[in-house]
Amino acid sequence: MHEFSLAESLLKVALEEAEKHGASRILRIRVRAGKLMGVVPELLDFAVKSLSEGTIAEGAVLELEEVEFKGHCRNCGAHFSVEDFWEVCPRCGSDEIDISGGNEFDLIGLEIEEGEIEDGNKGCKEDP
Amino acid sequence: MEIKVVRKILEASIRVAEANRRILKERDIRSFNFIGSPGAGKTSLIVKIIEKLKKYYRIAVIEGDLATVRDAEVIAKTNVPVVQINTEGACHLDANLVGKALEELPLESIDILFIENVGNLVCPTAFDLGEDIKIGVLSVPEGDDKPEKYPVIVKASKGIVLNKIDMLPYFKFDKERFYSPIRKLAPDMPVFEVSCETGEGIDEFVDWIISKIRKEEAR
Ligand SMILES: [Zn+2]
Repeated sequence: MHEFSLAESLLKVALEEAEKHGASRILRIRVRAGKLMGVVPELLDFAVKSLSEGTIAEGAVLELEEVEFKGHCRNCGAHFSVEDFWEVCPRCGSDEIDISGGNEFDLIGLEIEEGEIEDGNKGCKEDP
Repeated sequence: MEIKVVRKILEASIRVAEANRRILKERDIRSFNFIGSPGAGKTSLIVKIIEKLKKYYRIAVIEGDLATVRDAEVIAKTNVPVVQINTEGACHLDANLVGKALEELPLESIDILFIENVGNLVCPTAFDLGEDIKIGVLSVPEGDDKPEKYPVIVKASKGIVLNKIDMLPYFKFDKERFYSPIRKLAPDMPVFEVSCETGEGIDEFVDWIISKIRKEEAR
């Protein structure tokens, strides 16, 4: 159950990005998560819902994209994507495969509504 | 409006972990993060290796716990500095908490830091604390299927301890079933069969810890 701390970081980053773009509301948050992060989608969803209350992300839809592991066959050298740890090489059937990746936890997109009083100059205070 | 961004969500905590790592490196402190289920025997294991190592190295411990100070008290009996972190319900230590704990330790006079993570096999593996090495602690009563069910701990660890081997006669524990997923995921993974009760296997594990410290020194 580490989804709450993940959701906390996720919302912080999403709100920062939304502010940069002068958003008045966040409608959708797109996230990419590797399998090593051990994210339970329903729990992350629940955590984001709870923690976003009272912010411009309240009610936003969370879109979670799971990234598969990358596999490399030590026997035949094939590269492929791996769904779980116990797969065999799809080319030669060997179970001698190296698995990498899975540490991703990235914000990859936001759908926002822009604010009414957007001056187009947000974040550029030094502009003449 | 659709905004395309790619930002690492944990970038802030990754930075803190890197800062921790720098603080430890600058002072030549080697750090080990022990991860395992509640009751796997992490505290007993740490106490055992402190007893063996404290003649030769200056050791400190960061003790992660959901709410109690019991484990920290057990460690404190070994007379090494220990800082207790209560995560207040969170199932893992994070780099921020460890950074704060480091401020409480006499860093100038420490060679080895042991971090006992919160009793949980899954969540702690997702969080870099700035440690050198993660060690997975499993135990016989938990069953021979742990590596198969929790491959993530095998992927994350540099070494695995199978604790409580004195209980092998009392449990149906198939070593082949325990080892085969480890061998598949990490063929070179060192696995230490130990018993904190009888002391069996502890010396081999301590030797490995020392070899890891020496290897770092050689760099
Ligand atoms: Zn192959």
